[in-house]
Amino acid sequence: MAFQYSGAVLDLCVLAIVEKEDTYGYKLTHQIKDKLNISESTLYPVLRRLTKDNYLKTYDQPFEGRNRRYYSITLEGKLHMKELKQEWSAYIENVETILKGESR
Amino acid sequence: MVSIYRECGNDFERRKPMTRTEYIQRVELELGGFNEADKREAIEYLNEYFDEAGVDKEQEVIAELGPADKYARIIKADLIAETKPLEEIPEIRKNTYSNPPERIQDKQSPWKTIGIVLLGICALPVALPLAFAAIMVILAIFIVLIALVFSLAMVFLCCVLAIFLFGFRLITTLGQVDFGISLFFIGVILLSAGLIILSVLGIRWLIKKGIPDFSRWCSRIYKKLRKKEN
Repeated sequence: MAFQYSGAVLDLCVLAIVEKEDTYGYKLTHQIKDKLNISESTLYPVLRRLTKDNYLKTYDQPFEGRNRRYYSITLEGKLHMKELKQEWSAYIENVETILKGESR
Repeated sequence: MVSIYRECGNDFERRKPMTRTEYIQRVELELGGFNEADKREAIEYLNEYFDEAGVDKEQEVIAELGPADKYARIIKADLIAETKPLEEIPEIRKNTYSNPPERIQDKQSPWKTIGIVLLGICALPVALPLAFAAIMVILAIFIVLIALVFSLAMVFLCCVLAIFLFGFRLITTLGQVDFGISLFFIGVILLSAGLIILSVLGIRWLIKKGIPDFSRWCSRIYKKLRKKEN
């Protein structure tokens, strides 16, 4: 795929998935990888940053004798996601406008 | 895949693929020098990732994640991008040209030179009473300078108070009393404002110039005295 996903778009995708359901690193990586062209190694920094910025919080749950670190969205995260969503829609709209060749 | 094999140093290891433990060890090594907590979290995540995939998918995961040093580099880049503004910029600020080292020295020097001068006078082989007198004179001048700072601060406080009080009187009595009285209040307020400016200027001069200059003057005299002694 020609498009690269980074920064805000990836943040938005992660927040959107975690908002629906608390999830853990491995599952999240593959959920996103199913749809988008990302490398498995890119998600840890994203999760770390979102957690550090208080958009996500983590909790550990035992699973088969080990720990599974779940990520869940915070109130701040929801607000941030809303902002990102709006910006994304505006961005898409602008690209579409250009593609359709409409001039304002 | 190829680069994973290539990472291992000698010929014997080149033939067999990297194990999970080796991979994680390599990442940990690459992250050396970073905050322990950050490092631990990154390694925990990696461990969990391998666990989730299952033992039989170890090689697949390694292939997916890419070479250990490259993986570590991604984490490093993220950590560096975050720590820089917090930890390094204050360091840089200390050394910028807007704050030359000379100036920093100047700020400390008044107190230091006073101490040196006092010690020096005690050490001079002149008559002790004379030295004692000199110390007292210097101390007295120094106390006067500090007292000046305090008194100017008091002037400042009083004037601020005066502006409030007379401003209040002016507003509450405006139009009800003789215009001359209102004019007098305005005069007092303006006078206080002027005094505030003067007192601030005075305090600034004393702290930035007066006291340091005096201590430098003392040290100059002290040096001259010592030269004469020699």
